Amino acid sequence: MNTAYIDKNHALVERCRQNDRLAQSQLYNNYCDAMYNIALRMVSNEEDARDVLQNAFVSAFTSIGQFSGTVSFGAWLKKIVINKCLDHVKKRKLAIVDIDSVSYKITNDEREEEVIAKATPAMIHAKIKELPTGSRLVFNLYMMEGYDHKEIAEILNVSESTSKSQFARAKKLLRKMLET
Amino acid sequence: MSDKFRNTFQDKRSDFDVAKAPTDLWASIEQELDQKLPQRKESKVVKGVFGMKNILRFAAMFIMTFGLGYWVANQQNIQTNDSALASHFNLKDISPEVAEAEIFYFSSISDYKNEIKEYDQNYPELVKEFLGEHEQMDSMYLELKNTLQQDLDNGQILELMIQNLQMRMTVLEHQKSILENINNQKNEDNGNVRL
Repeated sequence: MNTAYIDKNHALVERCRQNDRLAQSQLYNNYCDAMYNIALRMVSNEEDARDVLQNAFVSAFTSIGQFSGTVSFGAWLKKIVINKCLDHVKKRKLAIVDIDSVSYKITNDEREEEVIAKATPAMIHAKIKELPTGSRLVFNLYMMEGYDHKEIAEILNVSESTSKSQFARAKKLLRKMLET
Repeated sequence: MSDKFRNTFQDKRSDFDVAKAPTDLWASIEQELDQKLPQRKESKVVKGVFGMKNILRFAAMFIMTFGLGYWVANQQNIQTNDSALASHFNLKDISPEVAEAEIFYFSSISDYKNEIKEYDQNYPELVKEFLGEHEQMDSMYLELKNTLQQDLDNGQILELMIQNLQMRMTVLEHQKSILENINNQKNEDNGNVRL
């Protein structure tokens, strides 16, 4: 399945290496919505998501020479988008600082997960954006983008237990938001 | 810990993508790319910026390229048969959009070719050469369609077919402007364009 995914974009990527604007716009069209949604959930407002996305696509096309094809183009691009989101958060000093200052007890409250699992994706998409920075980033990376806590700890430069406790915090807050 | 919970999300991952990217965002990206990765002049012409200098430059370029290939080219197969391509099999059943695009492009391509043929009396060799270029693209198109017939669910082939048609339009646009330009310049002693 993965191979088919890579093949799907192979010709377009090769043309992008030649700075073919048409191919660049086609790749953009294929991925802009998915990437915009990632950015929107990570940085939580439309204006910033737009800036992040512009940055990410320009960066992807200017450094396409570094794309080796060992992962799919989509996965490579997603990593760039997420890195740009994190750069943005750091620049805005929406620092993940609060991440360490609040330590939530890591519980496995099934009721929370039940409430969240029952909510519509559109509702969750909207509520995620209202979460505080630290728990929002962790929730997005863990639940949406499939990172594990060890990876999250590394990219956010926090401890693994902080990542887990922020995830617990996100679930608690989301449940509260979804129930009211 | 929350693996089951996470899996329920992953299963419907794309349902969470409810927002659409801003419609004017590509324009901003393109603007920035134009600064960081400028296109060669050729691409600007593609966009329809037909400055006189560019036309002359491309006229010279095309004439040189085509001139070299001229004697090598197969002169017997100049005539193309677009209707044969169109009726190859029913594209509409596979993709109505592409079928519609094909009709549009074929008619535009045919119009362009007719306009080019009007120069046949004054520049027969150039016209022959220009139209001959399209033969190769015609057969490439046919090949794509044949592949599509064997693999009806292949979006990439459909995309390549459209690209083929778009590319032909671009080439025809170039060719037509070259002929127009040469025609306009023919009474002037212009050293920039030589056959």
